[in-house]
Amino acid sequence: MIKQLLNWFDDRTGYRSVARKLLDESIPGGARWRYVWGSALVYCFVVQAVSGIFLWMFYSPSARSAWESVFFIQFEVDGGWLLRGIHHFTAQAMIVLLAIHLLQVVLDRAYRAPRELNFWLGLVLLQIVLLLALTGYLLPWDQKGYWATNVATNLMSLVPFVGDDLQRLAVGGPSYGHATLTRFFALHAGLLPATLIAVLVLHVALFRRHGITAVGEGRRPAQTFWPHQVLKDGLVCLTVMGVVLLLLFRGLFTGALEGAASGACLGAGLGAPADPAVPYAAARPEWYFLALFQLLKYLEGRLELFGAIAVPGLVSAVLFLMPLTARWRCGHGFNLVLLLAICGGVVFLTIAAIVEDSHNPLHQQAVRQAETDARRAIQLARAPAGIPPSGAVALLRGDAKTQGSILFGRYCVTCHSHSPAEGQAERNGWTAIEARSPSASNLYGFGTQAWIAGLFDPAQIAGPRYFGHTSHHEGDMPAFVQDVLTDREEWSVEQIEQVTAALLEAADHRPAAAENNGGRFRAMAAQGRNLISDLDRCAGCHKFHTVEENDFGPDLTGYASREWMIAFISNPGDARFYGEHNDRMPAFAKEPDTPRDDILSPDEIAQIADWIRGDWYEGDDMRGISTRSP
Amino acid sequence: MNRSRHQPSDARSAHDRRGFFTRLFAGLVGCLAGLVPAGAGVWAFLDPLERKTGEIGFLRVASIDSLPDDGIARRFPVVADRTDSWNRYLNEPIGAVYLRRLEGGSEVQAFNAICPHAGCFVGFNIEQNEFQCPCHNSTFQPDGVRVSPEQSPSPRDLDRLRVDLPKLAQGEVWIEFKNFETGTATRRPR
Repeated sequence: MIKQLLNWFDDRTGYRSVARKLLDESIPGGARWRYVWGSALVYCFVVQAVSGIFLWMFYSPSARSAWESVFFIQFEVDGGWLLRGIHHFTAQAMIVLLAIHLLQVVLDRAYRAPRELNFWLGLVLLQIVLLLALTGYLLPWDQKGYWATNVATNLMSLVPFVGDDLQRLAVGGPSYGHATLTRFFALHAGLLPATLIAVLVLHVALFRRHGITAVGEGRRPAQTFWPHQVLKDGLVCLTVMGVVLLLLFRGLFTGALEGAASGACLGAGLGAPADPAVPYAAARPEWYFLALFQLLKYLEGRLELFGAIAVPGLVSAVLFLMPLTARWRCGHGFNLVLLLAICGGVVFLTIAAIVEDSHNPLHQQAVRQAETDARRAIQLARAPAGIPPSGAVALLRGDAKTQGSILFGRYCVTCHSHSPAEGQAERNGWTAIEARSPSASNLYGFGTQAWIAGLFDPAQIAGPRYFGHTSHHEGDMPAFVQDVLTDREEWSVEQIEQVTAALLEAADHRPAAAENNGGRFRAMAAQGRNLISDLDRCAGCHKFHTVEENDFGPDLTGYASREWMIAFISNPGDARFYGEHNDRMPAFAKEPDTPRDDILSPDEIAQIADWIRGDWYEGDDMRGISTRSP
Repeated sequence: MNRSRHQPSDARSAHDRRGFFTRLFAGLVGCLAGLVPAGAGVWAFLDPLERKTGEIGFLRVASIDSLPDDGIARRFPVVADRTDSWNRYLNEPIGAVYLRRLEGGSEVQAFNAICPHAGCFVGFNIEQNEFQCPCHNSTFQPDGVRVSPEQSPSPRDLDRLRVDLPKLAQGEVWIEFKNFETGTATRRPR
């Protein structure tokens, strides 16, 4: 029945003779491992086409959705991480296989007459694959791809005469945006693969016409392509896929996965969303372009043109001319030495780049920062609030945890430090920032239990972490803490604890212990509120809710709460806070009606307040989420 | 293989057997290598089947004051938070309903604006006092019942949606917004 059907089909198509012609090619000297590289490359291309088309079903090429859709593939779609990982690592395997294939062809003299044309077709295929790699790198629209590809397109402007136009054509406009992605995607998934297929068909057809460049002919009997060479080819393809999967699952072996909840942490990395306003000092091209990158480092100024265009052009030209130079006497030997020299140069430059980076603490720090940002972006994107229509780039821009330390480092650190005291446990997520010459209090954990304990400590109140650097160091508050608060007839230890509880309640900073014993904490805080309201105690200087005898010191209503801090940062010299006793702290937002005149916007002040308070979204366990590629 | 012709038959069958296993093995290895990317692709491709449509519950559509008691169906957008793949949209129109307050009464009828036949957006023709589908001319009476059930392309009447009665008593129209599979005589939530 099946045989009849196949006969019917064969009568009408003649597929059997075609298949026989394709499969029964004779290999003089028998199947060999050294012939597998071309097949392995075809296999890789098929893998890229299959995985690429499936990725296409999820990918959205626009500056507001590219990162988001890749994030979705990586962390939300079932098996998306596997699909993307296969595409990512097979691309890298392809580069390695291309190099091996080229070396093998030259070593076996398969580039010489009459195979010159096919060798050139192979070089064209090599260029297409490199272009595919370059265009694919940008598509996730993360910081890494964005900045690395920026360098590549900026280099295009070095081309004499038409450089600027060339760059504009590649970018799709004067700067990176939607049009860049649509262009790169059309190249990556349309034009380049189509060209590759056309050239590949010619390449294989010519290869068949000339036959294999047999090695060891006559020493062993001839074999047919099917099944003998196919078996060897297949085993190598399987091995390539094995290596790809090994890279994909590397997290399982390095222990980075410990405690991670799902498989979403496997596969290719994803950086933070591209943001032209956020520096990316860790920018490096993929490893196979590192040699070129390193070359450009050695060549500066006008030589850059030479390095970016002339050297790669020269190498291409030398490779291109090889079939012709092979006709010289010793031409083959010359070519072999040349090729090995080129390979040696590439390997040397690549290693030099890696070694240089590994000895550069600034680069290491940049890589760590990039990883922190990437993790944070992914964490926020996975939060229940999700990704807003304005895109994932808005997540980090609006994140107190990310922006707080940056803003503090820009506006506050000239006077305030933000670092744990000696022996104080560092809180997860808070960056320690040290002022070079502190002239105000250390705001680490401001308003928390530990901070208030220090405030009420006679040994610390006039010290460098509190009022020591300010004009208040001999003021009324240090004097009160040193003289009155230490008087156990005036203030019992329990009363100090009660006031502390009331202040913590005002700040909404409940100590961890209060979680288990909320009733006792509330009772203490209630006592504390009475003590603060007592005109003979705190309210003698501080306003507290309705109790107002003297607004000498800052209002303690909602002390260290979000609202209080925002108002304080906005204008510490307001009557509600230090009034005319304000030391040197500027008002960061004094003019609510004309916010443009202010140093900081309301959003920025809120981010600083939230950051100092430690109010930010902390989501799932982020351990094991891969943001970096090996 | 050509060489085997000249060999004795025993050796030849052994050679053929080896050839058979080589073929089998080569075929298996090839299939395995091809299955990995194809399998990963199909796995991801089938992801939408695993995604559940979340329950939306009752949504506020209008105030009773914006709905005169004249029995005429009026169209209102349904606004809710919506997740579209990776994006989270707050307060976005997710569909439309027709609301109709019966004459002299406080009863409110709510219909999904989607035709149960093939999913086109039905209109309400005030002159003829009926719902009309622009695609295949299904017509429905103001109460959602098909005008001529035997000839109507639509297999069922317009999809009535539940109205929250306690909220209605307070003067607000809250409806349980749902979309249903089209083309079936009985309605199945989508």
